[in-house]
Amino acid sequence: MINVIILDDHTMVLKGIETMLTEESGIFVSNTFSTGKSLLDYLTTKIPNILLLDINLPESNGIELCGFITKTYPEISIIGLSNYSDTGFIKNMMRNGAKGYLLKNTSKNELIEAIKTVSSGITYLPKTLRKKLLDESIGIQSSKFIPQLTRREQEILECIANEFTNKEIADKLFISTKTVESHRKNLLQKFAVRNTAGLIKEAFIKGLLN
Amino acid sequence: MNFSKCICILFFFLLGIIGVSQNSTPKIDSLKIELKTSIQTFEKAKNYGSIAWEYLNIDLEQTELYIDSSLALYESIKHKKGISNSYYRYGVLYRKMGDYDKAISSFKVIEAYAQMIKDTSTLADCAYQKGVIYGNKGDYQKSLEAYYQSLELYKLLQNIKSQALVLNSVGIVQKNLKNYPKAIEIYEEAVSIYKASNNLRGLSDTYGNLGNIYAIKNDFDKAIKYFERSLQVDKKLKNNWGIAINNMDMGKLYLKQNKYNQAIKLLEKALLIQTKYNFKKELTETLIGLGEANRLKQNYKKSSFYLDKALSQNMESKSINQSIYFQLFLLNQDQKNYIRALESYKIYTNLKDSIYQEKKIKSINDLQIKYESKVKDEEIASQKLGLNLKENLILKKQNQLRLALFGSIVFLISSIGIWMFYRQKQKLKNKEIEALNTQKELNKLEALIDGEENERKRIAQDLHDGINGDLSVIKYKITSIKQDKFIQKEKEEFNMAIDMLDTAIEQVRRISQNLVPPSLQNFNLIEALKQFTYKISTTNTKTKINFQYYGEYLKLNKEVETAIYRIIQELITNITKHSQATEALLQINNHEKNMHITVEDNGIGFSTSKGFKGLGLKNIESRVAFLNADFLIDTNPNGTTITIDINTNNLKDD
Repeated sequence: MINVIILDDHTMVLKGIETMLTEESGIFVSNTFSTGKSLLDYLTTKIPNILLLDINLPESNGIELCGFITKTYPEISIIGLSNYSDTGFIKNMMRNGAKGYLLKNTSKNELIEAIKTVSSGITYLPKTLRKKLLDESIGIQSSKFIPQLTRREQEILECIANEFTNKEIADKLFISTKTVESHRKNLLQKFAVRNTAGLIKEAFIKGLLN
Repeated sequence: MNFSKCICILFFFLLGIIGVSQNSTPKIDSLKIELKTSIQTFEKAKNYGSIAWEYLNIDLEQTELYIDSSLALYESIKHKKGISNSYYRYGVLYRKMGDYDKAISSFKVIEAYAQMIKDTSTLADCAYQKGVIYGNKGDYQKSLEAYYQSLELYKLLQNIKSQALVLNSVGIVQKNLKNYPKAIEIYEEAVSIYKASNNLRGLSDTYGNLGNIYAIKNDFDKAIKYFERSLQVDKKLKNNWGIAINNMDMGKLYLKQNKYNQAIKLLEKALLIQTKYNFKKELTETLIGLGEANRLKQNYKKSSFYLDKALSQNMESKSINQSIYFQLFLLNQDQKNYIRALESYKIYTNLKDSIYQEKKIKSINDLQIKYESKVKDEEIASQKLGLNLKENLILKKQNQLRLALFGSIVFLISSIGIWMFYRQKQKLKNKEIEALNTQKELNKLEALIDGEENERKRIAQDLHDGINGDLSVIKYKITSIKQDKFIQKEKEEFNMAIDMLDTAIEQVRRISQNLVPPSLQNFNLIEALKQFTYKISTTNTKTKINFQYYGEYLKLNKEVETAIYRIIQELITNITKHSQATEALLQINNHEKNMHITVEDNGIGFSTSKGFKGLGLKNIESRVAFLNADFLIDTNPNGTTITIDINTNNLKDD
């Protein structure tokens, strides 16, 4: 029998989830809480297997609470429960020791699957969220290898390669030298180089200049 | 005295006799022939003048006649230069005749004329003549002045001959001033000039003058030597006046040495010539000398004869008369004719007194003049004093003026200073006011943005926690319904309802997330922008958005992050809605305290003048102002680049 407790400030949600799980064999909702404080008080007396934890709490931060509980009671597995689908929340919950993450409009089957998966020691994320996280990590990775240049940066890079000074570039592109200087700095930062020589070298290596 | 010398003297003597007897010279003769052959009046006049000039040292009466003729002719043809020359000759003539006043007035007439026509040569001549006359009158100061004036002018004209002449005359004056060495020096200078230019007449005069000096210095040998040199030259020149004078001078010299026979011989020679040619002044002197010499030889009859003749010359000169009467007194005394001696003596003393009186009067006059000039000096001094006082007054006034000017400048400067100070202050105040206004504006903006954000938050909260919670609960309730007894149609309807609920929940979530990005609330700007761009890229098939972030994360307060987020949100929403771009790039660079944001697309661009207004520019504008950021749009049909530079130093901290 999996002992489940739920923390949500929304009592109707609490009731709903509890109802969804009552008829499921092997899962038992032993208690529900509407505040973090009452939960923590309870945990000093009894340790459940699973905690369904709402992130968005009026008095306390759900993510921080998650971290505290997993550290204090490592035997409790936490599944985050939220209306937020932003990956930031998911990642932060996972970093703070959560074993799963569900959106609140989860279906009964998904909820049961999550509880069962997590209680067996495996992390659970719904399919949609898994895809989102994957996309994001791939996207960031790719941009790190070949930096995409803005049109301005491309123009300025070419000017620099043609030995133009900041003043000459500014006159040519009808912008202020201050702006040119900013673009220059941006380029150095983007290519992770220390000076113009490095910038030109990297730009050639990466095929951004010909 | 050897034979040859004797012959020589005889020769010159004979020559002199011939010259005297003919009363003419070869030059005069040739001039007279010229005169007879000349037809034109001018030429005639000129010849008369030349002849007159030649007669000057030979016969003064002839001279006057010829000058009269010359002047008459010049006047008939109104030849001014000729008239002037005639007057000059008159001046010299009068001088020779001892009529100094007439002479001076003649020269003054000519001088005025010469000055008018700027005839330097004539001016120099006149100055010289005046020098001679003043010298004869005993006014040595005036004489020297005149001489030096003429010397200057002659030098200017480079007339060496005349310079020597003037030097000669200066020597005479120096002699009269008893400045003998100076006189000798000057004469010798003149002699060298005359010798160099072979001017015999000048040489004769100068030798004579040198003889006179040595005579005064009682150096008889030298004196005689010079007189004889002079005499020889004069004889060569047939200069009767000179011959007579030299004879007279030598005679007087011998007389001084008590060599009476030699003296009488020489004086008689002089007398002969002077009588013949009417050299009145010198004649009288010669007569006096003869009188004295004969008296000393106790030849009283002859002495008396000569002295009476001297008296009969009727000389105006008191000093000459004085010496005549002195000789008469001595003669009568020697003849023991005491009554006549007394008479002569009385006249002599009278004359002496008169001369003395004249001198006294003159000296009194001089004194008077000196006194007057002193008075004048005093007057001038007092005038000067007055002037000085006036000047001081003026200076004082000037000083006052300067002071006033200085004061007003200081006042002006300080006024300007004060004005500038106040203006600066006013500027500062204005700036403060402006800053306050800006601050006020910013505060207003902030309040506005805050209000908006709070409203959004409230709505989002209601949507998220309220509606979405409720929807979730509804879903739970529905899914809790037992489906065992459902027919197939009912099952389908049931599942459709669940799906619709999920869609509704998803929509509400999206709306609420748009209203308040949860990542921004819980994490940071970069996280929120990642979520935002991801969501746009996944929900909008047309435009792919790439988000790049470089540099250390800048910790900003939520208000600032929200504002930046809203600007970017607005810009990217615009791109997806209007630009028709296939790609967009959001790039954030952090350098120290500066954040550079670039939003770029490859769309169709827009018109900045109007298009942007409708594109939610107001939302952006207010937030750019709130952030005090530099906002730059560069748009063209190939795409749009928008850059936003934010100096986070200018933003309020968390």
